[in-house]
Parts: sequence; structure tokens; C-alpha cells
Amino acid sequence: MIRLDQPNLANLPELRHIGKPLPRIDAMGKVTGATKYAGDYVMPNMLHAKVLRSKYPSAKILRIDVSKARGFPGIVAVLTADDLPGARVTTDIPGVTDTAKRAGTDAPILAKDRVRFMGEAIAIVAAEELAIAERASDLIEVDYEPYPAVFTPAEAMQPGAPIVTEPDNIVARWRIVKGDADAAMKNADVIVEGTYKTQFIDHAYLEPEAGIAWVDENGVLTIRVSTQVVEHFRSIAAALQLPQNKVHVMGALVGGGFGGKEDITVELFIGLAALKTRRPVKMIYTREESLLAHCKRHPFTITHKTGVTRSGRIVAAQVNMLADSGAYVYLSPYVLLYAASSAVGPYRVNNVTVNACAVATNNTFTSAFRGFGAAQACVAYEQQMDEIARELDMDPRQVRRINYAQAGDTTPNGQAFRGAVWLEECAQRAWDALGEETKANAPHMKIGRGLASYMQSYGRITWFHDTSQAWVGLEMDGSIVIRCGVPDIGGGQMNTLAQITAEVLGVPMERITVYGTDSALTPLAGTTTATRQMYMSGNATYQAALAVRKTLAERASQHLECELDEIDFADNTVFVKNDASQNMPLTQLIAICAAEGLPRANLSLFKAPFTDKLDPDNAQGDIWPDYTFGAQAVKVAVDTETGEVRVLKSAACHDVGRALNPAAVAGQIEGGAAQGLGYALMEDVQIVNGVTLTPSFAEYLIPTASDIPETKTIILESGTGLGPFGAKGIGEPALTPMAPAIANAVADAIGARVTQLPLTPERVLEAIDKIETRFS
Amino acid sequence: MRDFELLQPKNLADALDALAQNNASVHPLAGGTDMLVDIRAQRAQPDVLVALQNVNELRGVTRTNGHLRVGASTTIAEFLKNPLLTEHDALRQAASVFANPLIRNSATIAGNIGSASPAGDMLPPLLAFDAQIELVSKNGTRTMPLNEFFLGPRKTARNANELISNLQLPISNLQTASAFYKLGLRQADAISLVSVAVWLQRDSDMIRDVRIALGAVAPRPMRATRAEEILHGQIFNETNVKEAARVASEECAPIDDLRASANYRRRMVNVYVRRMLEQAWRNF
Ligand SMILES: Cc1cc2nc3c(=O)[nH]c(=O)nc-3n(C[C@H](O)[C@H](O)[C@H](O)COP(=O)(O)OP(=O)(O)OC[C@H]3O[C@@H](n4cnc5c(N)ncnc54)[C@H](O)[C@@H]3O)c2cc1C
Repeated sequence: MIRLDQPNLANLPELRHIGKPLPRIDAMGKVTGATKYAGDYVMPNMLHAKVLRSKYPSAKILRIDVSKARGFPGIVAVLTADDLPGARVTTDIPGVTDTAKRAGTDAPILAKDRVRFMGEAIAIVAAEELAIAERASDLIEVDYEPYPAVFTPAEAMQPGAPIVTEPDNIVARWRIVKGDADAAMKNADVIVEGTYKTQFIDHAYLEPEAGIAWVDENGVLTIRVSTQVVEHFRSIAAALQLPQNKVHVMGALVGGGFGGKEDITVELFIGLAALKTRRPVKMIYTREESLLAHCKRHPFTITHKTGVTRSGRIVAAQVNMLADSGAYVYLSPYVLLYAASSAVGPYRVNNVTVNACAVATNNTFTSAFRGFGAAQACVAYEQQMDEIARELDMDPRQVRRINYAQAGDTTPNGQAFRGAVWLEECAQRAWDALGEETKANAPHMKIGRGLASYMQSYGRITWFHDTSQAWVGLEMDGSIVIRCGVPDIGGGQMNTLAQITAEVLGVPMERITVYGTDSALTPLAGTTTATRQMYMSGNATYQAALAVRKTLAERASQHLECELDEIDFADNTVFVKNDASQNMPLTQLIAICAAEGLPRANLSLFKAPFTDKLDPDNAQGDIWPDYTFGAQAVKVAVDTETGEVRVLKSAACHDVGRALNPAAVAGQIEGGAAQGLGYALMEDVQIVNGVTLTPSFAEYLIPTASDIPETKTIILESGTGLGPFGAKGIGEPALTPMAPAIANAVADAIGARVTQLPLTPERVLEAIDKIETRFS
Repeated sequence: MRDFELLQPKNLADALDALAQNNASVHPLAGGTDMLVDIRAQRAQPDVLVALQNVNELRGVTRTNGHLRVGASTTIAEFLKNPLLTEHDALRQAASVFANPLIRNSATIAGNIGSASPAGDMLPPLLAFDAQIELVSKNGTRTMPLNEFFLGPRKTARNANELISNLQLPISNLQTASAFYKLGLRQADAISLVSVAVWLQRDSDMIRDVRIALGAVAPRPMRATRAEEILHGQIFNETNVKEAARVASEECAPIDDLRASANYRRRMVNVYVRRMLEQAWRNF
């Protein structure tokens, strides 16, 4: 069991800022357009860089001739693999304390003699003007020779298949064994089998990958970049053979991440060009480049075999998962672990075997995406729950109720749920919010309702030894500075730190300034991934603010002549709790502390629980600090003559432990539901024979405002989270249940299941046809 | 993006002069919502663009002796505002699902025609209303049925020195009704998988006249003439409507692409021709 090192909440008085939907500190800049994103920065003497990319998904490079480009007016530098001998970049998870790197996880920065996916980088051109850099592809000659390729995991696993990743294309395997699923399956009254498939999708953020790099006056390579991870400075340093303290990554407010800016994007391209030219170099991906060449969500094929009793109890589950990792490894092993570990969802299943495998192909590489494998698992297990109900002729909600995990129950890898598990409560509330059953208004229309429950971890894998640091300091005028290296990707990550500090030190939000996302100037706070910043940096900030408060409170209790625990802070004032007439301005207290040399600032490190790695035989052991639970319900209308689906109503209920800022939480839930709707109904990066057929937003469709119904958000607060004030993460969880809820609603409407996302009208109609032929 | 020269003539005569110098690749520019996208994607490589936004002669919607005259520069948004236009259901319905509000404010009717995409959403309703297109050049003016203007994907009967000046829709005083549907993969900003426009003229139980036009199911927007024949002068009943819809789905020539299969499109023509006929009939 994980031990909890929670700060003591007992001394805190009634909450004044926490739990309030306060306007975000970053809102005004965003609304007025004043906010600068990485691509907005310009510098004197700046160059523009472009990447020349592979035209083929799998080929040998016979020759690269850059002589025309090198002599072309306005082109300042052309770089190919020959200019950076041996340079490869680690794609393994950053910040892992392990010294051993996983074998085979490095990728070339620029392809040398072989390209493994269409869009792989081959050369970098830096030019005086963007239009000149854009001519790179006309000016650089590349001779390719087609090389045998594989485009599906199944093909890539065949003996004799062309090898994309040594030694056998298998980039990761997890086998989880709990109990004895084989034996228990024999005791089942009914065995239900189902196969569910998900597709490649794109993060489709408003802001494509962007950055600007320069070498500063001290010889430090400085990179201003749109990223979820400023701590890539270490792998950038390694790839460029620089000392780690000679690379400085400055983030900016990020125009959407969703996992797509978790890996390195433009950093090495502009870093190399800046080192070479000694001039600032800027690069912004076009939308087409972003769709073609940055990571995608893993497509999964997931097969469930579930043994159940007549009364609806699950007695055994066998789950197989096959994921397409694309041409390079990146975070596939971890995405696969998230999927495998949540294979049976938030249900009590004592006998489980999960076999999961991620396989390399010549498709665009896949990596992190909001939900990180656990979302794909949910698409499968929640449809499987409805299929079980159908086989048993039971209400799907009843089957769930019978099987929901309770506090203390364990995941397939044996990790116990430590806090509240309010699955039934969430499901009930979400379902009730749909309102009364309604009838369709035309004979060809069918209405359906669907539900999905889920579990999703927050915080990083516990053997990564995750920490975050924050610095909180009071200025002489009573204003506050927070320094914390948190990248803010639009979820309000920095705002949360301000709100926590406002609470602890009794200073209004507008008196607080947060500096974040800088690998050299702000204390390192880790990645904005894995739904971890509120939990990790929130706790670090909370600890730092509490430490400042303690020093101040001690001095105030002397001055106001009362007991320490009678001191309270609010509205820039320090006062005695039961007698507010006994008070002093915060500035006066600060002046006293300053005059006496007492610290008015604190740097604090928060440490997540650490565990050992999983048992290699059966993958038993703890993986994450904790889980968030919840449910999504939807009502859809399906046109049975055309297969068109409209989502009429959406309601989501999540236990977020404590909503530090309910408006921000609702924002995550609404956004997650909208993104999940796209996943369910239309988003599809179609990669056929390694070629992306959806290279722009004209082909790759994401939902518009007209497609998205209002999502009624119901926020429950069990108070049992590991974040400050008992909060749980909600960033990723908000998305996870939407797609299966829609799939279940469509199945409910038409009486047949489309087992492949997205549920396009054509697929829905095919499913309807199958029932009709069955009856005729 | 490649460089081009931008001319901004102040009147029709200057615009036609600019188009007449055919020593370079000169193209009209209206809202630019196709043209600029095409230039960026290198599908279009003009040397000179002749912007039409200051050419007032191309604006305006008027109704004169049995004809609705729609200026080339009429924006799609105007089809949702101007009462002379909004009373025509199929046109209004097409405009309401066209792109998104921003694009609708820039995109023009002539641009939609000029691009000659088989999926252009205003085209089936215009065909259903039997629009005539007027073309003007320094040498004069000519008029032809819009149905003859489209030669294939992105190919039209327009000469390089000509501008589309306006469209003329015959407006009957007898009982008419129309309807339009666009099937796309989302509710806005979608390229049609199939679009259907119908126009009916009624004489008690009978269909006195009918036009059915289809989008995105052939190399050009098309009239389903065989389907029309089935209904012409016939009683409006389920059998006839179903038969016409079936025939329409046979006479179209859709393709498979990443959005849908040809089969699916054919089937949707069947469904939506039937539904639009029923919808238009209900509107009488
Ligand atoms: C985001 C987006 C969404 C879209 N959605 C839709 C949609 O839902 N349905 C749809 O049908 N289209 C859609 N389009 C395409 C486009 O908006 C339409 O085709 C529009 O009508 C083009 O009009 P325009 O005024 O912008 O034309 P332009 O781009 O200016 O011109 C288009 C073509 O017409 C020619 N042209 C323009 N005016 C004249 C004239 N007076 N005489 C002769 N030739 C002329 C031009 O030379 C050019 O070849 C969309 C485009 C975008 C960018």
C-alpha cells in the first residue's frame, strides 16, 4: 500500500478562495489577444526554418543533394544527418530517475539512410525569409528506393515481416495476471465475447507546434517553445551533446496540448539551426505538417472475453490488446500499460488475464493523447458491459451496479482503490440528468441513451519517482510571487497555484503573479501530463505557502498577543479569529519580518508516493498514486435510413475530490465531452498504406459548436483526493467516458453495435442493414 | 505562398479590361474563400487576381417581370437575410448549412459557381430553380442555362476574359415549393457527401412541373432528369415518389472517397430525393 504524506489540513479555517469559480488570472490576456504564444515571439536578425520531410512511408535514402539549396540566395543553413553524426534523440519518458534507458527507444533527429514513416524529418533549412525556407523541398534532391513496409500491427507481427523496430517490431508487451481467469471462466454461466476497435486521431489544438531558439550571450542554447514539458532540456542537451546547464527551455502559454506537446517537437530542429547559424531561428508547423508528422493517438484492437453468472456478476475476464505504435517507440510502452491496467474498468473482477502488445508499423508514430491508453480501454470495456447486459437481457445500469468496484477493491495489477469510489452515485446522477425518456418524432428516427463509467489515474507512474517544486514569496507591499516550472496548457494550471496561495495567505488573486514554465528560472515542477499538475505542483505550492504562513503567523501571534492557532489571514489582513478587531495589515507584518530577517518565502518539494516496479511475471504491483471516477450519459437520435447520429443531450458526473475552481473543472468536463464526441463520431486520421488521407482540417473533421450539445456537468466532492484540499485530477478523466457512452447510446437506439470508432453514418447504416438481413 | 499581383478595379469596365489582357494567368477574385485556399495548396497559380469587391455593378438582388436577378457578388449570408431570396426555401436552406457564419459573410454565389465543385452547395438549388447565368466580357454579354455551364470538376464554359455578372431565376406565380438537404459528416463546415434540391409546381393532386438536382454524386452538379420525367404531370403519391427517388439514385454517378463509398451516396440520393419531394409537397 502507498503511504500518504499529506499536509495537515486541520489547521485551515473556512475556505475563502478554494471552491469558488473565480475568474482565471490568464483570462484577460487570452480574451483580448494580448497573450503571447511561442509562435508570436520575434527577434532581431531572426531566421525561419522548415523541415524537409519524407515523401514515402518506407524507403531507403540513396542520396541527399543539398548543393542547390546551399547556394540559394537567402538560405543561411541546410542541415542533414551528415551534419550531426550519430545524433539521436531519446523518446523515452523524461525525468525518469532510472539510469538504464529502455533499449531501442531512440529516434534519429534527421533520417540518414532510411525513412520509416511519411513525414519523417530529413533536412532542416534556415533562411532569411519563410517563403525561401518553404522552397526547401524544391531545392533539396532526395533519391529514395522503396523499402518493404508494414501498415498494420497484425502484419508487423507475422514471421518474416519487414522490420521497422529491431528486433521484431514488438515495442512493448504487458501481461497482467490476477487470480486464475481460465479456471474461473469454466464457472461462468454465460461467456460474452466482443472486439472493439479505435482509430488514429489528432490532438487538433488551435496552436500548432512552434518555437524560437537562440544562443544567448553566455553561450546557453535558449528555446522558447510551445510545450507540456520544459524538462526536455535534458534530452535536448544529450541529443546536441551539450551540458544540461547549457540548454534553457522557456515555455509560453500553450494553445492546447492534449498530450501532443508531451514529446519533443520543434526544439531540436531550431536548436540545431541556432547553434549552426548563431542566429535566432523560428519554426511554426503548418497544420498539414502537424497532422502528418506529429504523434497520433494509438489505434487499438481490444478483444474481451468475459465470464458472467446469470445474475450478472463477472467471474472472469480475458482481455487482449493490440496497439499500433507507428514508426517509433515514443511513449507506447506506457500508453499500453495504462490501457492494460484498466482493461476491465472500474469493476470488481477477481480473475483477470490481460495480454497487451504494441507493435511498430510504417504509420505515423503514436504517443500521448489525453486519456493515454486508458481512454481506449474504456471504449472497449464499457461497450462490453452493455453487451453483457444484452446477452443477459438485463438493464446495463444494473449489470454495472452489480459489478462496480468499491473502496479497497483492486485493479488487475492488484492496486487497491484507496479513496472514495463513487461510481454508482456518479452514474445515477449523470443518467438522471438526461431526463425523461423521449420518443422520436418520425418513424425513421430512433432515440437511444447510453452510459459509460470509468476510472482514470492521476499522477505519474509511481516508479518514476515524481516530484514537483514551487516557490512562494511575499513582496514588501503584500503582493505575492509564485515561481513554479509548470507549463500551463490552457487548463488553468498556473491559476490553480494562485488560488491555493490566495487561500493560504489571505491575499486576493489579483495580487498574485505566477511565473511558470521555465527550465532555468523557475523551480522544476515536472511535466504537464498525466493529470498531475494540480496534484503535484498544487501540493508543492500549498506546502510552500503553508511554510510562509507559519513563519508569519508565529510572528503575528507575538505581536497580537494570542495563540498561534488563533491567527488567520484574509483580505490582506492578519487577525485574531474570534476577535477581528485585533488585527494588523499584512504589509505591517511583512515589514516586521523583513526587519528581523525572518523568511517571507519558501521553496518546497512535493514528492509523490514511490513504489517498486511491477512483478515481471504477472505485472502485479502499484502503478499510480490514485484514481478519479465518474460517468458520462448521453441521449442520441439516429436516422435509421441514413445512419446520421445527433447527440441530443450530454450529462457528466465526476467525483473530483474537491473542485478547487468549479468553473475550471466544468471547463475541463465540457471540453473533455466535446473532444470525446469527436472521437466517437467523426475524428479519424485515415492512414492508408502509410499515407495520410486527411492532411488538413478540410478532411480531418473535429466537432463544431453546432455538433456539440451542452454538457450538464455534475461535480461531486468526496474530499478523498491526494491533491490540496482533497482534490483529484480531472484533465484526462473528463474525456475518457464520452466515446463509449455515445457508442452505447447508438446501440441502444438501433439495436445493433458498431464496434469500430468513429461511428460514421455509413458504418451505422451497415450495422442496421445487418439486423434487417438477420430478420428477413 | 506564391506571389501574385492584386488589381482592385473600381467598376465593371475596368474589371473587364483587366481580364482582357490574356498574356498572363488572370483570375477573378470574389470572397477568396476558395481562391486563397487553392493558391496556398498550389492548386491555383494565378499571376494576377482581379478583386471584384469594389465593382458595384455585380451587386444587388432585384425582381423584375417574372425573374429574380441575383448579382454575382451576392454573399451567401445575404441568402439568409434578403426577403427576395429567403422566400425560396431550397436556396435559404442551402445557405443556412453552407460553411460557417464567417465564411458565409465573404463567400459569393459567383464564387461558388466559378469554382464548379461537384459539391458546391448553392448549385443544386440554383439548378432546381432553373437558373440562367449571365456572362459578360468586353465583347458583350451572353446568357446560358446554368445546367450547361458546368463541364466537369472545376471546369466551366466561362472564357478567361468573362465575368459572371448575375443569375436569373424564373419566378412563377403559380404554386411552387422547394426543399434542400445537405448530408455532411458534421453540422457545419462540412463538404457534402450528397446534396439534394427539389422544386415542384403543383396543380391540385398533380405535379405540374418538377426539377430535381443533385450535388456531390457526379463530376458536376446534375439534374436527375429521368427521375423528373417519372413525376412530370403525375399524381403526387408514394409510389411515384419512391420510383423517382430510386431512378435518381440510379442516374447519379458517385465515387468512393475517404468520406463515403459510392454505394452509400447512391443510397442517400434515394432517401433524400424522396424526403425532399415529400418536404416540398408539405410546404404547399
Ligand atoms: C472553411 C470553408 C468552408 C466552406 N464550406 C463550404 C460549404 O459548406 N459549401 C460550399 O459549397 N462551399 C464551401 N466552401 C467553399 C467556398 O466558400 C465557396 O465555394 C464560395 O462560394 C466561393 O466563393 P468566393 O466568393 O469566396 O469565391 P473565390 O474564392 O473568390 O472564387 C472562387 C472561384 O470563382 C471565380 N470567380 C469568383 N467570382 C467570379 C465572377 N464574378 N465571375 C467569374 N468567376 C468568378 C474565381 O476566379 C475562382 O475561380 C468553403 C470554404 C471554406 C474555406
